[in-house]
Order: sequence, then C-alpha cells, then structure tokens
Amino acid sequence: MRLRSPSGLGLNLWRDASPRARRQWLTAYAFMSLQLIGLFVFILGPLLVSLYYTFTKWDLIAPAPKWTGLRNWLHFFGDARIGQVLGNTLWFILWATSSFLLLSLALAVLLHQRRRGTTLFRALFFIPYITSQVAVGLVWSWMFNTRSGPIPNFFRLFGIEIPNLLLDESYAMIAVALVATWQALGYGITIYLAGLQGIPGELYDASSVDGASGWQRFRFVTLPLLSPTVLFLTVTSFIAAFQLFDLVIILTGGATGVAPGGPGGSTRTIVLYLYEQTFLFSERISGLGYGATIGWMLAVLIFIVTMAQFRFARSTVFFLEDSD
Amino acid sequence: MYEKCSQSLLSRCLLLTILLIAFTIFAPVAAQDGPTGQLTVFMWGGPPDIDTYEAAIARYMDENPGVEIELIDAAGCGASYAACKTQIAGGTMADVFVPGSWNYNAMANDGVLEDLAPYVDADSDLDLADFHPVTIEAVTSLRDGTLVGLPMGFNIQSMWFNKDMFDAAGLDYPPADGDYTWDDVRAWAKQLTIDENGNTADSMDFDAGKIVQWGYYNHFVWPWGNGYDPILFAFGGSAMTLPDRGSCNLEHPDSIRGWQFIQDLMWTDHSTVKPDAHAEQIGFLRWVDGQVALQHGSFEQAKLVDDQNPGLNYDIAPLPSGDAGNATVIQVHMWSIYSGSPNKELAWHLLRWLATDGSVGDYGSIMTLIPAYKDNALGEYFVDAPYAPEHTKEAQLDPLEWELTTYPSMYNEKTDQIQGSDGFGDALSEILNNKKSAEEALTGICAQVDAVMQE
Repeated sequence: MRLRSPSGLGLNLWRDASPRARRQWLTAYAFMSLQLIGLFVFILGPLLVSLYYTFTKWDLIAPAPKWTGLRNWLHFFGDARIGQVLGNTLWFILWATSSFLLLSLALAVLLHQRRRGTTLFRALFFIPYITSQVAVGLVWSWMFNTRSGPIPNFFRLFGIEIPNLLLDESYAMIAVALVATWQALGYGITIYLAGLQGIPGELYDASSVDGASGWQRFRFVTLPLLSPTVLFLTVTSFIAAFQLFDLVIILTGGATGVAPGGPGGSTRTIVLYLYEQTFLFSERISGLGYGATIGWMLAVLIFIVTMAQFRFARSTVFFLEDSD
Repeated sequence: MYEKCSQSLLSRCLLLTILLIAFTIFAPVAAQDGPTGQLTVFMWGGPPDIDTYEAAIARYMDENPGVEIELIDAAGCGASYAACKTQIAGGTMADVFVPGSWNYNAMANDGVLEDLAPYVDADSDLDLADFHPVTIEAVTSLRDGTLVGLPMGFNIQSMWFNKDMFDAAGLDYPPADGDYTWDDVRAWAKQLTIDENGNTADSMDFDAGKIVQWGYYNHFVWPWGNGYDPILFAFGGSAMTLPDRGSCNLEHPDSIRGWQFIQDLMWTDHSTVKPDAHAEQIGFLRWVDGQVALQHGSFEQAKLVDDQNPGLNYDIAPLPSGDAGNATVIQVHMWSIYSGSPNKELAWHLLRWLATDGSVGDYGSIMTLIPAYKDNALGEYFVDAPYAPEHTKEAQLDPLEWELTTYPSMYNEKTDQIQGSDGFGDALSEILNNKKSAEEALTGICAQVDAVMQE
C-alpha cells in the first residue's frame, strides 16, 4: 500500500485515505494492538516510572517514594565509588569482548570447514552458553583452586606455581572475563557461522583465480563481508558486558574468604554496585532512587558507546548489495 | 377468621425459620473459643526447616481452629532483607516472619519490625525472664532498645572433636569445663594435622601441600563472625565495639592479636582449613567426614553427623579461654511481626505461641536449635536428644553464663556493607589469604568502617 500526504502528517494521511485503505489501517492496528499494549505496559511504562524514581528517595519500605529533585543525579557525579566500578567494568569489557570476538571468529572459521566432527564441536561449544551461570561459576571457581584445580595443576607440571587468580586483585577480573568468554563462545561461533555461510562462494573462487592466498582471501573477502556480523556481535557483547553481575557474585562471593566484588573491590562492577545501593546498603542516598539513577546512567553510557560503534561502523562495515 | 388465623400461623412459621437460620449461621462462631482470622507467615531454610515450620503451624491451627494460616516460602525473605523489601514494596509482606540474626537490626532501623514490648507488657502470663537474657539481648534493636522479636531458639559455638584422632595422637580430650586455652588448641592442631606421608604439622618433613587430616576448622575462613569473634573476644578484642556495635574495633591491639593468631594457624602452622581447601569442600563437612580433628561449630553438626556419618566417634567441649577469659557467640533465630501487618493482635497470638508453648515438640528437636524458653533445653528436645553428644549441656548451655558470651559483634544495621569492600571485607580477605599480616591489613581500616557506619 502506498500512501501519499502533502504535509506528511498522520491526520492528513488518514483524511486522504480511501475507505478501503482506512479499513486496512484499522485492521493492521487491531492486529498490532496487543503488542502495542505490551510495549507501553511492560517496557515504556516501567522505563518512565524508573526515570521518575531517579528524582526520588525510596527504601522500598516507606509507603511511597519521596521527591528529592536532582539529588541522586548530583550524588552520582560526586560518588567516589562510581569511578572504581566503572573502571572495573571497562577493564572487564576490554578483556571479555576482545577475547570473545577474536576467539569465536577463529573457531567459527575452523568449524566452517567441511570436515568430519565439525557438527559435534559446534554442539560442544554451544553447551556452555545454555548452561546456568551459577553452575558455570561454581565449576570455574574449582578450576582456579590451587589445591585441586586443573589450571594451577597444569602449570605445576612445568614447575610453575600460580596463585588462585580469583584471589588476586591484579588477575581476578581477567579470570572473570576468561570465564565469561568461555561461556559465550558458542553463541559467537553460531552467529559467525551464519555470517560465513552468507558469503557467496563465487567470491572465493574469483579471488583464487586472481591468485589470492588463504590469508588474503580471509583478509579481503571474508573479513569485509563478515563485518556486519562483527558489528552485531560487538554491539551486543558490549551491552552484555556492561551488565556483568551473576558471574561476579558466584566467582567472588563463594567460600574463598572474599567478599562479592573482591578481592580489594577489583571485580565490583557497576551493576553489582547498583544492586548494593538498591537493596543492601543503608546510606543516606541508598534505595531504589539512587539505584535507578545508576541504571539510567548505565543506559546512557551504553547508548553513547553503541552510537560510537555505529559511527565507527560507517567506514569499516561493508554490506553486500543485492544485485537485483 | 380462618384467614386471620392462617396469617398468624404463617408469621410464626416465618419467625421460627429466621431464628433457625440465624442460629445455624452464628451458633458455631459464638460457641468457638480463641482467636479467629487469617495470617500469612513467611519462612525460609532447607527442606527439614520447612517441614518443621509446617508441623508447628499445623499444630497451632489444630489448637486454634478459628485461625487460618498460609505458610509461604517467600524467596528467602528473612534470610535476605532484599527479598523482604520487594515483598513490602509489592504490598505482599507476611504478618509474621523470621528475620536473619544478621539483618534484623537493619530491618529494625527501617521500622519494618513491630515493637513487641507493649504486647509483652499487656500479657500477664508472659515473662521475658523465662528466656535466657542473652537471647533477649539478641532480639533487641540496637538503635532504640525495642523488642523486635521473640526467640525461636538459638545456637552457640562449641568445640567439636574427633575422639579417635585425639586417641591416635595420644592427646587428652578438650576438657568439658572449658579449662583450656587457645594456645592449647594451637598446639593440638599442629599435632593433629597430618600429610599424606603421615608427618604431623610440627614435623620438619611435613608437606603443607599434601594435607590429608587437618587439626582444626573454624568458620573464620568464610569469613564469618561466628568463627572469628569468639577468638577476638577471648583475646580481649572484637570486630565492632561492644555492646553497641557502633564503631570499628579491629585496630585494637587485642583484635589484631586475635587475627594474627588466626593467620598463624592457617599459614604458619598449616593446621587449619585454608580458603582454597574450604572452597573444595566446606570445612565443617570435612569434620563430619572425619578429615578434621577439631571443629568450632554449632549443634547443627550433631544432626549432620547423625545423618551422614553416624559412626563418627566425637564429643563436644566449651570453647577455650584467652587472656580475657572464655568466650563464645550465640545466634538467635527469632519470630517477628511486620510493622505494617493489619493483623497484629492475631499475629502476636501466633508468635507468642511459637516462642513459648510451641517452641518445642515438632520443631524444637528437628531444627537443632536450642530451645530458649524456660528449661525446655534441658529435656528431650535438646540435651537428651538421641543424637546429642555426651557433654552437650557443658558445651552448649553452660557458656550462656560466661561474661563474654554475646551475639557476633558485626551484627548491626549495616552488617552487609561493613563486611563488604566498603568495610573490612577486603582487609580480612588479605589476612585469610596471607597477602598481609594482621597489623598491615587492619591498620587504618577503622576510618573506612566508621565512615560506612556514619554515612
């Protein structure tokens, strides 16, 4: 259906539309109405309510939130812990997303080849992704255990004693990133494989005829045509990494003599801090209001980073145009 | 005439019918004694705990048929204050629930718990003196001294020891009167720690990387106040100042000495379960399994042994003394009323029953809590329970009279925060993982903890 309107306003569109077109519109909106109601009630509504909470103080005990104006927002910019938790989160993102993007690409390229056993390996790599984070965290906290954990025992074979990475301030977040990457690899491989399968075979044939080596085919054919997939995974993995919470609680809050977010606060992420301020702490500022403020600032940060990624993508992402 | 007579008869029949219906409806209510109404109760815990709550509530409803109670396992509300906050915000909070002894002060501080003192004052049959004073202290708000719960029961830390291991090492058992010291424990623990070659921890050939039997386990490895506070108290220190629990006391020389003692047990003597070994298998389960000679724990261990390793040859003793005397900690489990409950009088009726007449019987013996009401602990429900070890009374009840027996010092309105990175959590972690000595780790920590308390 093609609609025309001199002014571009919806009212004019409706007024100028034929009775048949109007009926079609009404039918379309009737079909969409359930989705729209869901969108408003479960997404836009809570979003607006949470924005309102950022201007209030509410410990969830009082009958209603108390209006405090900009106090939460001003406190956010003066809160000394925000710098630390943001730094920790960015440190995690650096390790987790880079290792995830590179390792899953490498494994996807390997598994894209038609060899025996690749299907089995694809399934094996995907299993951790559908495993609960609690189970993953518990298994990996044992993997790092210096008494019986496979990782320290592997190094011990070569006479090297390594500390429990989760108990060392310098390595704890890297260890968490390693676990997060291990768990997410299957997802990345699957998405990359879908992207690889969408690259026309004739391009490889043509490049081979032109004398391109394997690396050159990867560099000048695979990588450019896979760039939309890389962009998608980059954006979604950054968003997920900003929200790190469960793994930190399990890996650092276990029976290792360390408080969640430790050691030395080195794995305390912004979402963990949000949770602490919303539910655990009883500072003057604590409660749902300040928690919502941290959540909104996190959303703004994620939005800015995502926009920057899309801006960067303009010059680096290539889309294969449809010859039709 | 006939018509008039018939009308009169009809009126009488109608009146009789109305009276009959009214009697049928109201007679049972009028005849019923006791309270009536509906209550919700939140509970938490493992399957045995849930079973015992259900049994107790069923017994109450049998005795009070006019009361209908919905017992709900509400995602840990009570053990977790955060879970209760969501219930309160959602308007679905229970009338009666079980706060954790670690978070009830935070709840009291926020006005979540009903002050029970007026109910007690109005109840001529209830005397708080029938509960042990330490248990009442532990259910009293630090902020304003209000009574925010009644004890369900309590547990207390004692020394649990494997008699076979002591016999094999040629050592006397820890005395049942508590007349021994932490230095004795340290010496015994070294002799009772054995590597896979059979060398004890006081031998030159001992290999700390291959321990097969530990001399000692303590909850301080979590780190948990039930474990470290008795040692700090006995040394003359504490994590937070007593009795107010309002300021940090970790820089007190005796607190530092206590923590250095703990670190030496772990990393100089290698005679106690360290964090990595604890992460593999929780230390008190190692004791239940027969891998640890001495364990500092509560009566839950007796039930665990009964269930999992009934052949274990063990007994218990009170905790030893330090320079300041013998010390231990209790942990009280309590019943409380939500201050926003619309059924407070009925809730009080239930809570009072649960804490007194209902405190033993179906659940007193299963919960492995020590009944706090009157002399109930001396009977079949605790001291004479079938799986109670020989010196249960000496180890579990007599220490209630010690001057230094109280509940953990870090249980205040900011327990969660002071145990975390903003408080002393990281400093304790450095000690437990041997990154720094106790003095290095704790110097300057109080400014940080006190800032949290004042914030």
